[in-house]
This record gives sequence, structure tokens and C-alpha cells, in this order.
Amino acid sequence: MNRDQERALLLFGVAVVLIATPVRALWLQTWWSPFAFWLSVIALIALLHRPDHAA
Amino acid sequence: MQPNQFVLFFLAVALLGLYILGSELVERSPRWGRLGRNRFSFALALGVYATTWTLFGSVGFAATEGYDFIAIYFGVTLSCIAIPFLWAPVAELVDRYRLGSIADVFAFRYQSRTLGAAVSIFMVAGLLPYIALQLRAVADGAAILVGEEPSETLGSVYAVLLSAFAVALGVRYADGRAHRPGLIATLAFESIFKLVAMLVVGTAVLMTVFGGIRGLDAYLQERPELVENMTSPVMGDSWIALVFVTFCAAFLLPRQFFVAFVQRPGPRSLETARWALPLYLFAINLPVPILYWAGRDLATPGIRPDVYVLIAVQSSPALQTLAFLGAVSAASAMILVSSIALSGMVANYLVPRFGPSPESLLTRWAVFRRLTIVGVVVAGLLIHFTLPRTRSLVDLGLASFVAVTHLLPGLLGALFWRRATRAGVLAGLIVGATSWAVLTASPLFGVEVDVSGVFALFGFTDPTARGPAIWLSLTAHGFVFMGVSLLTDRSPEERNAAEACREPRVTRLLQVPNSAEALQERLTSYVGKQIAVQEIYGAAAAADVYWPPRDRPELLRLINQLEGRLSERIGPLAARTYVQGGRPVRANALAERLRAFRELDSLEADATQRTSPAHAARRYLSQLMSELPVGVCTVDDHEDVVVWNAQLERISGLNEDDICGNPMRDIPSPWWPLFDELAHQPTGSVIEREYDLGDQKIQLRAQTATIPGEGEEGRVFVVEDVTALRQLERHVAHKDRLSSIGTLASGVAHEVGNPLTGILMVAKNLATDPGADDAAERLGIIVHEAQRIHGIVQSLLTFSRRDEAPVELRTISVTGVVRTAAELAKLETEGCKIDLNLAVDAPAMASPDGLTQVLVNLLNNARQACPSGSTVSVRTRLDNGSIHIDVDDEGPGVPEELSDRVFEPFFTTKPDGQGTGLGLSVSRQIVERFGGSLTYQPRGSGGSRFTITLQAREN
Repeated sequence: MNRDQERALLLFGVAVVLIATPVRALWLQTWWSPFAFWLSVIALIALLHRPDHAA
Repeated sequence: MQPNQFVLFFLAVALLGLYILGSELVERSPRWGRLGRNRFSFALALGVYATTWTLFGSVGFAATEGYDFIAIYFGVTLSCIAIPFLWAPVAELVDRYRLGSIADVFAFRYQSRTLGAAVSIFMVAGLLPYIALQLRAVADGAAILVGEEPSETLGSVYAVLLSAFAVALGVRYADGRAHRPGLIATLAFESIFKLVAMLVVGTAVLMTVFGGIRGLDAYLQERPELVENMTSPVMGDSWIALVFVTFCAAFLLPRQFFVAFVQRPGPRSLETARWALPLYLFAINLPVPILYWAGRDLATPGIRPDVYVLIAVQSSPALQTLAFLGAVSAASAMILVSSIALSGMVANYLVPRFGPSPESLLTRWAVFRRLTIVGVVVAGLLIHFTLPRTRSLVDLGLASFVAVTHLLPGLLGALFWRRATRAGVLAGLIVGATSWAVLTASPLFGVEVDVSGVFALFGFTDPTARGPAIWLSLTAHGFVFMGVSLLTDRSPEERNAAEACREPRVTRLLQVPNSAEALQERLTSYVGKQIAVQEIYGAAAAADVYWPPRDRPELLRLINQLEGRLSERIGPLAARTYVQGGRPVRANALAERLRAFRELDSLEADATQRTSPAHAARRYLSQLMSELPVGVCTVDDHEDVVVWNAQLERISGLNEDDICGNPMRDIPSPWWPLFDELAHQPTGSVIEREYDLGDQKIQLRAQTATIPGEGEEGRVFVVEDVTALRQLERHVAHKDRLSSIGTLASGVAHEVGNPLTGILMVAKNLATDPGADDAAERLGIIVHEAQRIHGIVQSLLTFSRRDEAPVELRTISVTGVVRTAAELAKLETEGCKIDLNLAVDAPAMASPDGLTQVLVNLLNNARQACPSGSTVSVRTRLDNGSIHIDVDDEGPGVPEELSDRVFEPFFTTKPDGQGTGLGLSVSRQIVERFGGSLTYQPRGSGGSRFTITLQAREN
């Protein structure tokens, strides 16, 4: 497993906890907060996206 | 006011016609073809996930289950996070073995046509409700717009239109070939259209109904129960099940699989999709809650929430039309891609089984695949008419999603579990399909099976919740799959295929026909002589092989081509059976060619041609290629690897025998991505990349050039491992910095130390005798020496901040600045005369203060160096668009051995105490900040010449 896959797996684990466990109550405070949370996850994917061949 | 139904229909036809024309343009024009190979187009094409469910159904879903509707997209987002470790292995498998569908993956890994057929039947059954969903959404939408109750007549008109579109464009792509730019570009454009439609409609509703974001906030504050109704369902039982099924659907739905893996334009496409697809889905869903709240207030009783989007903009026929066209667009794309994907499965796995004889397979195949597309669409239409109208869009869509979830165990087994057997997968699939039919599909048709007792056994109290049915059926599926797999043995073919899936780099010995006649005979036995000859000749032409092949390498190349062509059309298993007798192997034609070449070479060397010039030249070139200190890889016009030299073997750790002859895309990462990136660069391009190979990092510098041929061109890639070089450079730079710091510190200590000693001595004297007569004079000395230290510190600051402070550049007159500097220099000292020869002038970009400082510094140095009575001359000259300012003196000059050091900080030839050694280095930095240069040259007649060069500007 390369670094990119390790990072993806780690993020996947964190995202599963935030999305699929009772922790999700945290991002359900207002009508817009689910969207804010969703956008944060996408930003995190883009930020952690470092494929092996990217210098 | 409502849109005219004829105008509406005309616009729908025009939109779909535009898609067909656009797809043709992209297919035919190389220029437009790029659109279909773009990574962002690919990510947008994956937006085919968003169907009418997203445009209409999500609002209906939000009405009944609040933010549970986002679960449908959170699952996809999670799936996109899993791309590197879940999607990527599937993509590699599909690429390597030219698989065309999820049924191909199952059939290939488990070596079973039965399994391929089972998956195909299950997928067709599972997807038909989803196609019906699209037709229903469009029909209901049209009815709302023309002010009618949903009618079958109106629904039929649009259903026929969508079917016609799917058939018209579907047959264009019915050959199942991979990487069709026209299809990707069409889907990308369609995705953009429906996104724009949603955003425009959402923004219009936000502004007109709620008066903007603040208005919406105020509206919701007055109705807190609305927000509560939206958020509370997320904490319920259905949420996790919804996230899970959509996690699977994101890449297992036939249309998603087809776009994500079969149509993937390049190795880096999925990397972009990782964030771009979730972002797209985020954007298209933003308006959903707004449209729901607006539709809720405006809808009359009895209106289904699924069409709230149209109700929310009922005051504007234009916006209603736009929203409706968005739904037409989404539905058409979904039906198109689903029908192409499903037709491939059906044609590959159901035609030979039910066909009268294999002879007519290839003739019937193309016709049958086109007919299948029509059949799939018509079946969806029948389901649309049959289903009770009480079922919501979400119910229909979820039934399909739950069906594809049952493909996950078998797929994970294919990728990660060698022990998985075809019997296990088949048994699991039967259990899964049965439970799906009983628990999920039959209620759609009004057949309710009471399973509350079974649910209660496992602690599920609410039999209507979505979770229990999904979890129980999947658990049963998983247990049966694993249990039966552990109890049954794998056939040798399955073992081979399992190895091939686990370790894609494995290339095997071939069991292929050993002559052209044998190949033709084998194929004839399956498809008849006429078609066999036709196919072989087609493959020979594509592989540039004249029939009959001259030698074994040509034969292998032909076989490889033939198998690929057949695989794309009749599936990998049938193709392999027809060509190689069913073994899961790949022909490694060029590797064989190279081996044959070496054998030939060796034979020649032993025979009479040992001393022939051609032989000697070939050996020389062969050895040269092998011993080159850089890695060399060449690919031919078919992108098959021809050369993989010894140095590249050392750098990559990959054996030449495993690489040569294989398609370039089969070279393991990071090599293929590197070469693929280079292949899209012009000749001579150089790229440098750092790769993480797990236990070590490697820095590669690579460049490419084309190898001209008669038709298509091949390519050569040159690769250098510059890891050690870059480390050395970093080491040297570090040492250099340390050395500079040392020089700087000793210079500072020396320069500051002298005046400081003077200050100390004078201050001590003053301390012992404060009332001395010359106290004022002594204080003056202290001030003078302190100013000297201040000057040194200022110079140091200027030196150290050379790259930090911004410089204000403006157009100046060079001669004007020189005159000013000369006047200033004359004020400082007396003695040498300054002679100005400023015949040439030109404007230049510089800071006048900075340039003046440099010139004064140079003039003072020159006047201090030159003997009394001599002349310092300043001359301007223009040369090649640059203006030069020469400052010449008649002094002793700088000794030759020291001339390289004149610009070093703290280097000076002046006596101690007369110079800091920073003037010239600071001057050079100032000039370099103008984009110019300052150089030193000894004069032939003695003395020194310092030249400032600045880029002249045109007047």
C-alpha cells in the first residue's frame, strides 16, 4: 500500500466516523451545517490528494 | 401561465439533438476530441450519477425524510475517498484484461459464463425500475407543466422520445469500445446543463420566494419545526443503510462502472474525480432544501413532492421549462449509458447461451446488442406503466441501488480474496437476489411479504425502515458466499485468474496456436470460416501484419490484436476461448519478438554472418542501448513497449522480459503515469518528479522524443535517477550557506571590532577624566566610530534583505542618473577628475535612487583607487537592446587571482578601516533587482572597469 492509499484509508476512517456514527449530530446544528460539513470533507479530500507522481 | 406543450416538446427534441450532434463532432474532430479525453470532462461525465432522482426526487425525498436525501451523495463522497484503494484496483483489472462490465469482471475472475449471465440478469432486473423512474419523472413533470394529471399518453410521448435518443446515440457506441471521447464529452456537457438548470432555478427561488439568504433565515426562524424535520431523520435508522448502498452504487451501478472504468480516458482521471465528483454533487444539491420549502408553501394539496421543483417556479414558464429540460437531460443520459452498459452484458452472456449456434455469433452480435438497447428501454417503459403510481422516485431508485450492493462481496473477493470460488459467489448472489426480490422489489408491485417476524429475531423493531432489509440480506449473502467458498475448491482456471487479479504484473506463458493455420482453424470452429477470415484479416490490418504472419512474433502480435478486438465485442471469456483455448493469459507479442530477435542475433553470430557489417553494427547498437547510463524505454506506434534497457531495469526493479511486448499502460505505477504524462508533452519536454515507492523516495528526470515512422509515430522515453544528484545539490547548498554565514560572521566581527575598540578606549579615558579639555573632541571620535558601525549594520541589512523589500521600478533616463551620481561623488572626495562620455542615452527600468547609490559607490571606489591626477571615466553605450554604463579607473586594478572575489561580501583590497567590503556586493544585488548585471573586467592598460548593464526600453 503506497502513501496515497494510506492517506486515503485514514481519511476514509475519519469520514466514516463523522458520517456514520452518532458523532454526526455535531454537524446537524443548523439548516446549512450539513452542507458546510460536506464541503469541508471535499476540501480535505482535495488537500490530502497527493498522488505518488506529483512532485 | 404555463409553457406551451408543443414548444416544450420541441425544446426537448432540440436539446437531445444537440447532444447527438455534439457527440458526432467530438468523435470526428481531433480538435474537439480532446474534450472527451480531458480529466475534468471525465469527472463531469461521472455526474451521470445525478439523474431525475437528483433533480426532482431529492426534493420529494427531503419532503418525507429530510436531510436523509444527502445520504445518497455522502455515500458517493465516501466512495470517492476510497478511490485509491478500491476503485483503482478495479480500474487496473479492467484496463489490463479489457473488461467491459461488472459481469465481465465476475466471469473473468471466477472463470464462469454462468456467473456472468447471472450478474447480467440480476443487473437488468435491478436496473429496470431505475429506468422506469426516469421515464416517470419526465412524464409527471411534463404533465405538471401542461396542467394535466399525469397521463399515460403524455408519459408515452416523452418515453418514446427518450428511448429514441438512447437508441440513436446508443447504437453509435454499441460496439462497446473503450475510451469514446464523444460519449464522455456528451455526458460532461449534459452534467453541466443539469447543474446550471438546478443552480439557476434554486437561485431564482431563493431571491423571488424568500428574498435572499437573509429572508430564508428569517423564514426558517419563524418555523423552527421545518429545520427540525430536516435534521432529525439523519439520526434515524435509515441513514447508515442509505450511505452504504450509495457507497456501492457510486462505482457498481452499470452506468457508473461503464464510465468510471471502461471509458476512463487516462490513468490520472480518477485522481481528479476524487474531489471533482463530490464537489459536483454538492453543487447540484445545494438548491434542494430551498426548492422543497418553496414548493411546500406553493403546492396545492395532492401534488406529489417529487415535482415541487416545478411548483416552486410556477410563476415563471421559462424557469419551469429550464428545470424540466434539466430533468429530460438527466434522464436521457442515464437511460443512454445504462442501456449501453446493460446491452453489453446481455449480448456477451445471454446471446451465446440462447443462440442457435456459435457460427452466427459475430454476425448477430452487433444487431443483437442494438436490439438489446431498444429492449432495455422498452422494458423500462413497461415497468413505468405497470408500477403503482403511489411509489415515489426514491423507492424505485433505491430498489436498483440495493440490487447493485449485492455485487460488492463478489467484487471484493475478486480483488482481495484468492480463496473465493465461483460456487461461493453464485450461491451468495442467489441468496442476495432472492432476498432483494422478496424484501425490496416485490413491495414496489404491491406484493407485501410479511417478514416482521424475521426482523424481530435480529432485534429490528421497525420493519418499514430501510436498514433491516439491506443488512439482513447482505449478511446472509456474505455468510453464504464465504461459507460455500471455503467448502468448495477452485478449478485451475480460477486459480490462474485469481493470481492474475491479485498480481496484475504477472505475465504468463502462452498456450496459443503455433501457426497461422491453427489460429484460423480454431476460430473457424467457433464462428465459421467466413467470419473467422474476416476477423483475422481485420486484426492483421490493425496490427500491421501481412497475412500469413512471417514468424512467431508477428503471429503473437496478431493474436493479441485479435483477442482484444473480440474481447471488446463478445467479452473476455469468449474471446479467450476462441483464440487461446480459454486460458486467462495475455499474449506478450513484442517480448516474444525481442527474444526471437536475440535468438536470431545469436544464431547469426555463430554462423557465417558473424563478421558481417550489419551484424557488427546491430551488436554495437544493442550493447550501446544496454549499457547507456540512462534508462531508455521505447514504445511502438501501438504503444507497446519495445525497449526497456538495463539501466531502466536497475532504476525500476522491473525485468525487461516482464515489460517488453506489453502495452505501455500495463507498466506498473509510477512508470505508466510518468510516461503517459510525458507522451502528452511535445518532443524535448523534460519533467522531474519525486515518487514515493513505499520504502524509499526516488527523484526521476525524464524526457521524451517521437520516433518518426511511416504512419503513426513511436516514442522514446529517457529516464535518469537524479535522487543522489539532488541530494548532493542540497548538501552542497547547505554547506555553502554555512560557509557564507561563517564568512559573514568573521567579516562582521572584524569590521565592527575595530571601531568598537576605538570607542571603548576613548570612553574609558573619558570615564577616568570626564572634565578633560578635549572631551568634546573625544566624544566626536566616539560618534564617528559609532556611525561607522551603524553604516556597517545598514549595509548588512541591505545585503540580507535583498530579496525581501519590494523595489519600485520606473522608467529612467540613464544619462540623467549618471550625471547626478557624478555630482554627488565629487562632493565626497577631491582628487581624480570624473570624465563623462554620455553620447548614448536610452530609457531603462530601474530605481533612480538605487542606481545612483550604485554609481556613487563605483565612482568613490574608482576615485580612491586611482592615483592623483588621473581620470575616472564614465561611458554609456548601447548594445543588443541593452544599455551599458562603464566606470573605468586608472588605478592598480585587482590582482588577477582575486578578481573572482570582488563581489563577495566583506572582500576588500582597501586598508583596514577604509572599507567594509560590502559596497560592491550590495551594488550587484541592487542592479540584479532591476533585472540587470554588474560585472568587473580588468583593463588591458591597467586599472579596472565595472560595467552596469540594464535592459533598454523602447521609447
